Amino acid sequence: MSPLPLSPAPPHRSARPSPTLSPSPGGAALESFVYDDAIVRKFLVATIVWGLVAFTVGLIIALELVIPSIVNYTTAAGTRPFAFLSVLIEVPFLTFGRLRPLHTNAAIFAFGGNAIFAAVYYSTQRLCKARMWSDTLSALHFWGWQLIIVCAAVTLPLGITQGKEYAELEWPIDILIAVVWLGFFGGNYFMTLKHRRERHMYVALWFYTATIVTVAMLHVFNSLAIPAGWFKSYSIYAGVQDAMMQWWYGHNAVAFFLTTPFLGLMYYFLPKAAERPVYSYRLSIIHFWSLIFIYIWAGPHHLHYTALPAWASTLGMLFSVMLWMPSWGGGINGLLTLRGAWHKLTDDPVLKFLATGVTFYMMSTFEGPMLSIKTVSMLSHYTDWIIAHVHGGALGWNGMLTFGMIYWLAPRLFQAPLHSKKLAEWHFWIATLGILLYIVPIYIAGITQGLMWRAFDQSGNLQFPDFVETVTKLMPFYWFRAAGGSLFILGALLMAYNVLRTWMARPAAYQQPVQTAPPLPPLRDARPVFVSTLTSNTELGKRGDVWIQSFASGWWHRVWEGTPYKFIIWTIVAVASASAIEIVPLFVVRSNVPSIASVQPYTPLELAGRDIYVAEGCYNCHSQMIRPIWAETKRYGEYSKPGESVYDHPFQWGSRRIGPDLAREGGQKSNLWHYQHFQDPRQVVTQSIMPAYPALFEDRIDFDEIQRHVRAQAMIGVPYGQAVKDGVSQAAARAQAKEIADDIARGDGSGNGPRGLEDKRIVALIAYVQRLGTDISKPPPAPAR
Amino acid sequence: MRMSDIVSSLGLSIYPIVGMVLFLGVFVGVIVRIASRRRLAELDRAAWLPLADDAGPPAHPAARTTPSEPTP
Repeated sequence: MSPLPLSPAPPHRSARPSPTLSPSPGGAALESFVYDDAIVRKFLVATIVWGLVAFTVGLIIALELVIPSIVNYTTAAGTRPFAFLSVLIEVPFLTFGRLRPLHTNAAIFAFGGNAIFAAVYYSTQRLCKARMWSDTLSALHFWGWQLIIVCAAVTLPLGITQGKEYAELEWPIDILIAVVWLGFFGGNYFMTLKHRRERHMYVALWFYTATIVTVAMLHVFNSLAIPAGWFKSYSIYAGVQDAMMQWWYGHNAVAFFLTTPFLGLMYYFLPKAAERPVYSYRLSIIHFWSLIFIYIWAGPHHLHYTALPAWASTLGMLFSVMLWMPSWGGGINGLLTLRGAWHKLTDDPVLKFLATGVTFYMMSTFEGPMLSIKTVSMLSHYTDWIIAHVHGGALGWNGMLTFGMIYWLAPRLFQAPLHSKKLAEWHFWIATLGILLYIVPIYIAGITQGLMWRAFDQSGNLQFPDFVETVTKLMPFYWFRAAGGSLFILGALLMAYNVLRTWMARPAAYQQPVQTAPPLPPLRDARPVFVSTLTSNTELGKRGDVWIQSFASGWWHRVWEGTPYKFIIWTIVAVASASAIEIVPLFVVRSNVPSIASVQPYTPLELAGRDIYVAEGCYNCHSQMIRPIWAETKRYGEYSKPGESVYDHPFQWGSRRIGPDLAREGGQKSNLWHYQHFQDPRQVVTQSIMPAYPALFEDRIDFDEIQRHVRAQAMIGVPYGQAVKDGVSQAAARAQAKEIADDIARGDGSGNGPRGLEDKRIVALIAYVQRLGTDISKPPPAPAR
Repeated sequence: MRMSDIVSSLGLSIYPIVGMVLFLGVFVGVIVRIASRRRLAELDRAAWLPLADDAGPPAHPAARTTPSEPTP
């Protein structure tokens, strides 16, 4: 029994404006159809299962950052109680660099993806008054997407990756994604729109449409690559251009995968749960078009003060700041939908989740534009501030909104009352506490580390010259983060249990209520008849008069608007034109990427080392981009130039420094130092939290593969010359490997170093690391004869 | 002579301003269109669409079990 006096009948029954929901001039016969809820049930269950996987992998990698600080802890009795945890920092397929992409991909595409699909399949059918166009496509979409997720879960821990954040999956999976997304999902969705029985496409459908179109475009263009085998490919873009493409994709993955579809979800499920229409439908339209137009430009704000040209970076910043207004307009629109229904928040966990989700949306979309301002980015970039920001968004906005939707859908889909409302309330409070316990310490960690990097002492030297000092400082915060994440998982487990029990109480057979609605009249019937009132004119004049009347009445626009194609085309125009204006100049205007004569392609062995660097996911912790900031040039050396990464397919600038920047690492330390460091980083840097790489000391270099990889690089324009000929790269690689192995064998000069490394993968990785950033100090090559 | 040399010498510096004008024009166009009174009734009706499918059958079992007071 509701404790509140207000439990009215749903207000819309009386308040709805005179309904003409199915205008059927001429009284068209009603059509019968049944909604396909079985597919929504599938996506719902997949959302919960993959959500638990994504969150758990997140917890594992959070622990991996603190384990190295306790693994060598020795008690008074001489035992090492935490030694067993070393498995997480030594076994190759469990290292942070390999699991972090699994975590991000699972959270975005498996948890977020399935949640989007559940929302789209449930709401589209009802908003269109039509069953999904094809049950076969629905099934192919569901199983195809699960197959992609399984492929990701297998390949990423194996180190099979393209090395671009959130776009790590290798080319065969990329093709599968394109087919499943656009072919199965897009095809099914657009055909359902085409066969809808409600003329007006509700704004949620606009957001879904923009999502499908734009994600397809982003995915295809960012993933263009030349295969060098079934499990290896090289991005066709390099350096600055690859960075621009990647963050155009990366930021719009946030915009069009984690924002627009979830806004569609909000605009459908929030009115449902609040039993009120959205506060302002007009505002929702402005919200839509502003986001579509503006979001697509924002990507370069991920690259402030890098080698990206300043105009692109400024453009990204300006558009990001502009985004603040429509985002808050939309957020307020969502919250005000609860007008007159705020009392329901106390009683309804669904509304609690949804309202909290929208609140996090507003926090994230305030913080995002702020972070995109160059001077703020100077402090926040490469730090945990960004990690806190995205988790506020992902856990708070995407997570809470999804949980709210699940609690609203579960009783309706499983046709049984929710097992326990109390448990859902518990989930809400545990999850909220978990999010706060996660993000607050990580904000502090981020700002702490950012300030430590730029701190100078009285004599003008870096106050914390040892990078590792700025990392060990963060350990307490990382423990809090792990605790917060655990709470969030606990909440999700409660939800899984709750939904499971709800499912167990389902009826023996689901009811499949038959819906009826008249078909839409053909669009041409919407054309009014116009008669010219002119009397003393020629026939041509009268025809012209009719045409003008017809045009001015705007009926054609209504017709055009009623077709989904107009919508799709406008969306494409909005996102593609913006993308082209921002990206094309980087490719066609020479001055954007000035070349440097002394920068040469990697040697075949260094290329093999680079492949290892990419496969191990080193970019997840190490940047290769020194910004022109005093504190950075002081710490790392000369700032990075655009011309330095012209042969970097893919670029490896990174986005987070859990370890130091490596852009000028070459020649800083001896080969032997690197050997020991990769064997066990704590041998040389006691407080290091980097994983050990024992497998690289066992595995042999595949010299034949090097030849293939050099050829693939040559195909995308890297001037390898004679090295593409059979055997040339192999011989060069063997010679360089022997040189490095001999140097390591010399040890401290007395020949006491480790031996037998000529064909071990570690040598290739050392060759690459020793090359980094050394080219600009070399003399330019002699001109070719 | 490369593609990039040609494009660099075209003198395209006016286009950012053209782009801005177009951009603002589209935005103002959307606002004007949304704000027109003629559209208000249509948009109001559209806002109710998500709630439309609740009106008809079936009553969800979940809804049946929700405690509700008899309305006068």
